[in-house]
Amino acid sequence: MSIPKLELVSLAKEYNDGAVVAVDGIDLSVAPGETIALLGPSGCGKSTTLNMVVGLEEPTSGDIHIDGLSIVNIPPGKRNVGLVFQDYAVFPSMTVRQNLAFGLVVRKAAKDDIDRAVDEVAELLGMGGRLHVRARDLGGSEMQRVAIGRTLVTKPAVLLLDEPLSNLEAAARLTMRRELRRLQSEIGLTIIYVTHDQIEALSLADRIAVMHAGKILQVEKTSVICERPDHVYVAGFLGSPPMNLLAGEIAPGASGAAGPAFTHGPLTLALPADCPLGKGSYTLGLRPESLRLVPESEAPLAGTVSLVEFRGGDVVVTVDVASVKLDVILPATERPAMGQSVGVDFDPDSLVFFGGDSSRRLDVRPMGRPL
Amino acid sequence: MLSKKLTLFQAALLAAALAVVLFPVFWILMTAIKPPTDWNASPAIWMPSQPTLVNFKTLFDPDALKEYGVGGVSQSATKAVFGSLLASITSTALSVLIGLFAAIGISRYGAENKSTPLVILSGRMFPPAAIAVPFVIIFSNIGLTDSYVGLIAIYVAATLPFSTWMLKSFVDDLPREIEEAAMIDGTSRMKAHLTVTIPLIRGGLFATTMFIFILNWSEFMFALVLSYSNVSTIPVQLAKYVTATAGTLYGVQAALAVLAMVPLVIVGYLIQGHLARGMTFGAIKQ
Amino acid sequence: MNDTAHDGRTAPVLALENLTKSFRGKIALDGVSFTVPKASLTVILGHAGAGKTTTLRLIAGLDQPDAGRVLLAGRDVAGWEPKDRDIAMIFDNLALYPNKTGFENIASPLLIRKTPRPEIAEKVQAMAKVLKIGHTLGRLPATMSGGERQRIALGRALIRTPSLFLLDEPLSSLDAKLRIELRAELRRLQSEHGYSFLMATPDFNEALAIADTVVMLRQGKVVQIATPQALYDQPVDRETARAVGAPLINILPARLDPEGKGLLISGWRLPVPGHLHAALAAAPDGFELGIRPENLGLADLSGADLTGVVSDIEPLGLKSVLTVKKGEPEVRVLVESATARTVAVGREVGLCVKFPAMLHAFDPLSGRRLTA
Repeated sequence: MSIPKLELVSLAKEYNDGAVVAVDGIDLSVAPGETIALLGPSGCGKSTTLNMVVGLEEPTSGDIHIDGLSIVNIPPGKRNVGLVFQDYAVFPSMTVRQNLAFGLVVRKAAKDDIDRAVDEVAELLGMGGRLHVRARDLGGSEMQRVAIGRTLVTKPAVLLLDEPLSNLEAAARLTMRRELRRLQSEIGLTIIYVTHDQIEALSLADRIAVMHAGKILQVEKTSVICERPDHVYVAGFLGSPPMNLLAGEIAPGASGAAGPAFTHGPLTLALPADCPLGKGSYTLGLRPESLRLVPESEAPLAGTVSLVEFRGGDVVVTVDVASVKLDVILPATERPAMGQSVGVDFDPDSLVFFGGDSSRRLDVRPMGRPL
Repeated sequence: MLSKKLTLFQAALLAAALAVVLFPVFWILMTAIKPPTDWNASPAIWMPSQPTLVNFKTLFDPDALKEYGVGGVSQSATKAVFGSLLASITSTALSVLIGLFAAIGISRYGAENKSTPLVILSGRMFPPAAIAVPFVIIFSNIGLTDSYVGLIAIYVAATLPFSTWMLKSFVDDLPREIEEAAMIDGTSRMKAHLTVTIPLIRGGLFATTMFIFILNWSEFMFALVLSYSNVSTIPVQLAKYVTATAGTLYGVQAALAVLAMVPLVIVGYLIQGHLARGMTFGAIKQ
Repeated sequence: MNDTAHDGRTAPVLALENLTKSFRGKIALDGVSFTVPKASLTVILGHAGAGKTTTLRLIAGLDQPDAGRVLLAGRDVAGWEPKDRDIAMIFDNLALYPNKTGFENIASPLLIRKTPRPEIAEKVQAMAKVLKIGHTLGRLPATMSGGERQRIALGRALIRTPSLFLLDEPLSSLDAKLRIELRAELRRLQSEHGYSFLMATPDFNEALAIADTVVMLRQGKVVQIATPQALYDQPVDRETARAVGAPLINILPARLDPEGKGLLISGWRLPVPGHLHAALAAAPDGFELGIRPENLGLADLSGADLTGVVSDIEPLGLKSVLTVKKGEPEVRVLVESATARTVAVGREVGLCVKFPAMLHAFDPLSGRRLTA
């Protein structure tokens, strides 16, 4: 087992003498050559964590290790960490070559070494023919590449990118994603992305760490995390649209019912007799992909269509069921009309339960069909 | 946070720079309380052994210095002080007012290009000494010499480039969408500028006003050539403290200089609170 | 609140006729014409620099057109000040008054029109309730989160119920999640109260999700005006097909097999779809075939329409995008992630076209979609 390239150990940051907790004691281990994404909404602490790794902010407690050595007391310039800012921070009046060379010039490297490193990186980024162009004349994704190139030239141990794609137009975003994935496999750098956009995280990272209110709620491989969210918040964050989540109670069913019932406000769902969960509070998750619209008479749930969002290949239909809004994904050909009364049916295998207190996902084996 | 503590070397450097900057102020303060005997002493006297307020008294009672055997002070400084106040305050107010609307006009409705700074600032590119005499000739033809009207007119013309330029940069910094939001909300264009644009550049307005005030308050060349008997300002008065018998009355000059510093210190103190950046933070998404 | 009138002769809320505008010699708008019907949500979709903001500013009266007319409720408003045009606008940088509280910001249109205080208080409270920002009313914008500021800007625009709302990228810099929530909120507000919205955005997802009509703007010209479904299924040209839809549509150079056995894409052969027969017969020099990634699926190698080698797998949550190459041409295929896990890079796979009727053909020079 090799030493992790980057390790966060109980890292915490507080402001105003503990009145504001930005990062609440997080642990994270990043393997060499791995790409990991810190994913979460604004204010979750991901940018503060980034700043602490780079050295722009001092942790209140905890430690940061690179290659096994603590870097907390090393000034930012000497940590060998590369940071690509959200708005690139490229010097507009300098040429591409001058921009790329900047880090090495500041470190007083030999001219030949600088030229060689710049040419190498320019080649890697496909900017070989643009070295003489002034940065202010570059397009968005070219500037992005120069910003990345500037850090690559100094061969950092870890590369950090803050919302790398957010300033790009939709088409440029797609090409940059591919570029970044290619770079990742070619250089084998350890890379950390900080972003609020799950698509960015899903397409660029090997593993995703979902952050919320200063804590890391789940770290999991990208290919797995959407199918197995571990925490209620993660389930409600990932997915387009995310899982429908209903917080409620399981109690013995009404008289005559074969199994217990789940209630969320005015909504009651009959669960099969072999449901292994006992009485208590839970959050039920229903995946929009596993719901379907059926005639009202045949459905366990009924309601009216309140919103239809067309997505091209499919539509997202929001059905109001007893003041609860459920999102359902359907092929575009099956789109219902606004205000239509519909029934909602679900696949019992797809039900996901989270503990009421722990908010953690419970492993529930598949159950029989509901009545 | 990056460490903000100074190294010993940095602190020593800063202390040295501070000493150099503050020395003239120290010297003037000390000179203002020196008796005439200490004025021309060699080696120089740093702090008078018998400090006195006679210099200050002389400003308003020209005969007060006779006590030390110095006569021939021609006039009191009262008129100069009032003259400076009148000329500086009026011309500053006019300059900032005109500059403010010019700034809004250029920033919001002008088509700017590379020569815009040149056009605005060119009015200030002539050294006062080069144009002082031509001005006297023109003014005497239209009867404006030795009048406050003429002096104020020149001060406004001379500082207008600065006031326009400075205020324009503050208006530029304010996103035009804020006034436009007001126009869409229901105000007319002019009212939007009055009720939205101007209040939001308050900090810049104060800073510009102070800068222009300092320029006018300390202006010497035009005041000298345009004042005979009616007009008098502090810088001109300072130059008059030279007698045939005692030479230059350094102590009295220093006393007047100390007095002249007072408004500047007060204004500076009042302004610094209003120079806070970030007046528009929160209104605009980055 | 306006009732939606179903009278076919109701004048459209907005009509633009041949709007033209240049800035310093560069053409920003070139003959833009479209209408916005009452009680509808129209979206202007275009890249940065396409002319979306310019269009909205001309409608609002913040800039004057060089040529063309802006007609609000049938009246030519040339020369009218913004305050007289009965419109509200949300700027893409929000432009909240930084020195006023949330309450004062929302109330400002009413304060300016000298509405009595008690009425103002009532309306602002009601609006705050709907937008769920009651807790921010006493605070300054600097202390609010991005989403809260966005909703204050919305409140300020909606408080007056003018006949037309102009929204310039109102959601652009919000978090992905918040953006999706607020756009549904916008749609709900619009349909419940029968407002007329004209919204500009570069994000096609937004346009498809909530628009009644999409006006596609490119370099100052209107390219297509259609419902989201029509824009997606019948794009007027190649650029429009590319601009709308993710993953990006596959565009492959192709030609008709001279022996009449289908169409050829450099090594791949597909039967000619019925709806393209006539159009392709008239394009002897070749054309470009458009296939949307979700229109392709994995199939057995033996019965497949196309075969190739997997060169890239991009996971996107519950779905993944496979890139399949055969020599030069490559296509992106959208599959379930579970399916993507059954293949690996380097493996040979077969693909089939799920809906031949959804294939498009484009003229290689002009980019126009070829129809019968």
